[in-house]
Amino acid sequence: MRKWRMLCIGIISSLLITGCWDKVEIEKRAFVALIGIDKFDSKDGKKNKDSDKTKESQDISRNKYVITIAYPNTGVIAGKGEGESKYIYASVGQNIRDILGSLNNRIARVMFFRHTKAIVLGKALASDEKMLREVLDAIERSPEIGRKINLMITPGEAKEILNTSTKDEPVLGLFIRELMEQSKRSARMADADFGYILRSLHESKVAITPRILSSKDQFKIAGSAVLKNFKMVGELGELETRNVMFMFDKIQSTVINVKVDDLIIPIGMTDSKTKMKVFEKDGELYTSFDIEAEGDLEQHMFEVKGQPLDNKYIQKVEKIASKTFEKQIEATYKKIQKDFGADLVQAGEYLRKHEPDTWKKVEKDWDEIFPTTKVKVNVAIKIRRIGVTQ
Amino acid sequence: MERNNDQISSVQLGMILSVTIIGVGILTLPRVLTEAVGPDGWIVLLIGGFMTLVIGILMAKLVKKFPQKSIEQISSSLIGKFLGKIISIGFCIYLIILAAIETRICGEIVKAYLLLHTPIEILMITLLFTASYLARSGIEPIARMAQIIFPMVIVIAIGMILPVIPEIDLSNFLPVFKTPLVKILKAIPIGFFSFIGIELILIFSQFVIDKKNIKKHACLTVGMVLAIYMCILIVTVGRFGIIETTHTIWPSLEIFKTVDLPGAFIENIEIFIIAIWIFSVFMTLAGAYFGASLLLSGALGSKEQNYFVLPILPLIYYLALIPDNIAQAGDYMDKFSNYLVPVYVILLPILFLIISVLKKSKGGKTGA
Repeated sequence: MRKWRMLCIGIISSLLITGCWDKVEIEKRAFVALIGIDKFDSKDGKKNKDSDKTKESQDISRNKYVITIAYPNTGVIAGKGEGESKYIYASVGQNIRDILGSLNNRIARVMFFRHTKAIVLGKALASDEKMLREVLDAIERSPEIGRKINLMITPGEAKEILNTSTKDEPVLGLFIRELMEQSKRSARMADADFGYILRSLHESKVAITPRILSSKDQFKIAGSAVLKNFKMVGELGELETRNVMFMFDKIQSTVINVKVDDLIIPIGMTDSKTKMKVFEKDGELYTSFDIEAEGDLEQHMFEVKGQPLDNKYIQKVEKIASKTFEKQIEATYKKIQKDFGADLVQAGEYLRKHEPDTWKKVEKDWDEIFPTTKVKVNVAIKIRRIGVTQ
Repeated sequence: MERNNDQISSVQLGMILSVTIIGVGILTLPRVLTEAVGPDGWIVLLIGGFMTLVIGILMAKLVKKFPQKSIEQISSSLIGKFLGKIISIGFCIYLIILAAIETRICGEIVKAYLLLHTPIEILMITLLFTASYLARSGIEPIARMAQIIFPMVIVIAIGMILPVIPEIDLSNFLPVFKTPLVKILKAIPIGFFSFIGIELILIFSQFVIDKKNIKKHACLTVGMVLAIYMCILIVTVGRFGIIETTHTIWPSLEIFKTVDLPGAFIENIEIFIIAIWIFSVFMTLAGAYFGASLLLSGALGSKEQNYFVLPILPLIYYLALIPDNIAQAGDYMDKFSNYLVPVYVILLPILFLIISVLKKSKGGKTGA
């Protein structure tokens, strides 16, 4: 009797209590590593015959976005399966959810976004305020996509980036993530993840995103794109981006070149600290950057005796380096003011926090006031080491 | 009611209270505080904490006067049998609503972040049945469960916060004291209501053996919860800044999306956080549920509490399903904390304490 009762309970519980709506076997998951979002271009649909979106691409009013996703063939990566190392699919539609739904009609797997590493936006999309805002909201609202992903803007089209096949790392998303980590060392690109971009956009409607460029089989993450009022307004070159990173105090290491006498001496920065201040003086607003940096002298001239190992000479190099660098940063600041009028350095936020009284005065027309602010840069570069020869 | 599992120590009471107070409120706390007073949220939280401390001490004083008595017996002896019954049934309804809120929000979070295709009804029913099992077993299993869960929650939560700490920017709390005083005063209820759960002292104290330590452990509990809240607030606002904190619905969860453990070996930490948060919600639910069944059995004159656990379940379930969407659930929560909470958390203990003092000074009948 007891046995029967136990059996009954067992059967009932296995019938009624088990069950899972969300169960997806791991081989049935598509771990989307990289997403590319583009603005739909009707010409583009006709040109691109190899994908099957040609038929629907006539209907322009319904098609606004092109989304390309890439996910790795997990079998190949584990070294077991065969075939291509990644799958790429693309579809068009009115909004992101729509497109992902229609992608699901083609992929026999469940798309899984928790391990997404990067999202690439095409320039055409980023320059359109409404679309960019839609995309940003869709990403931010999603409970799956984290804030550590990299949101990047490419000057061309995002799907070109996804179609690039790299040689040494099959998973594109991971490759981009690793590239970001590596590129931080040269500091020639914007060290900005999605969390920063969101925060900055919420705070001051301005942000800077990394720029990604691709050729046939190579990527390059360099420079940055400037967003203002939720649309892309311009790009910053590599060195300008580095200077902005100095203003952000996000530099880990970089190299600056200094011209001393006739020599161009590279100084490898090992450590840098920036203090930003915004203050009012004689009725004018000043933004000041105090940068303290340490570096190594990495190259001089063969067979020049006695120069690098001379304190006076080092001090001279330091002085020139600081001066040069001050000018560079000042120029970048002025460029940001003049070309974009964008408060990238969050001077407004600084005022709100530290000088609330001043902020109240300027808050309303900050967009006009910021381009008129003055900048003061103090750089103190110290050269600590000169290598192993004189 | 002299079963051998009806005794807990005051340390256990403190632990029950800690895991009970930390419930659904912690997820929205940084947002509501920042919405109300901007960067000065910590001041409001601090004031709320101190108010709770005072209320907790008052409650401890009250229950000390009536050892081994349930809240229903206390209120009957103070304001008469009929009114006492009304009060305890009202208290029971209060706890049922609290349980319903916890259930609903827990279901919403799990559905939003973890199980996207599972119906919320299933999520809520499983949670409710598990809680009812614990509530049926009585106070001692609840206390032991709290003892297991409490250190787990604390240790894991602290471990998960550590990677965020280097990215905190404390300047987000500037400018200090620039919020108008009126605004701060208006926001104090928010700070105070995040400590809902402290009123369970009134119900659970009848099981406590060492009455004289209740006060000490109630204070410790409030202090600890305040520290945890403060931690979450500082981390969230420090990382997100004021505007983004107010922009996200559950900033305390969203903050963990910005965390990458070194080497990116483990991603999506927010899932671990939800997992341990569910423990805490579960304990809040179990505590409120047990309290409700206990009050109901007392009001109906029954000796056993566990018969009343299952009949309450459909009620909680039904109440939890009333709000149409998450925004409406928030509205109902606000109504709950604006009307019912002040009565049962602030008014009731103070009133009872005053009456008991008056009665005592009249001489003759002492409460005990």
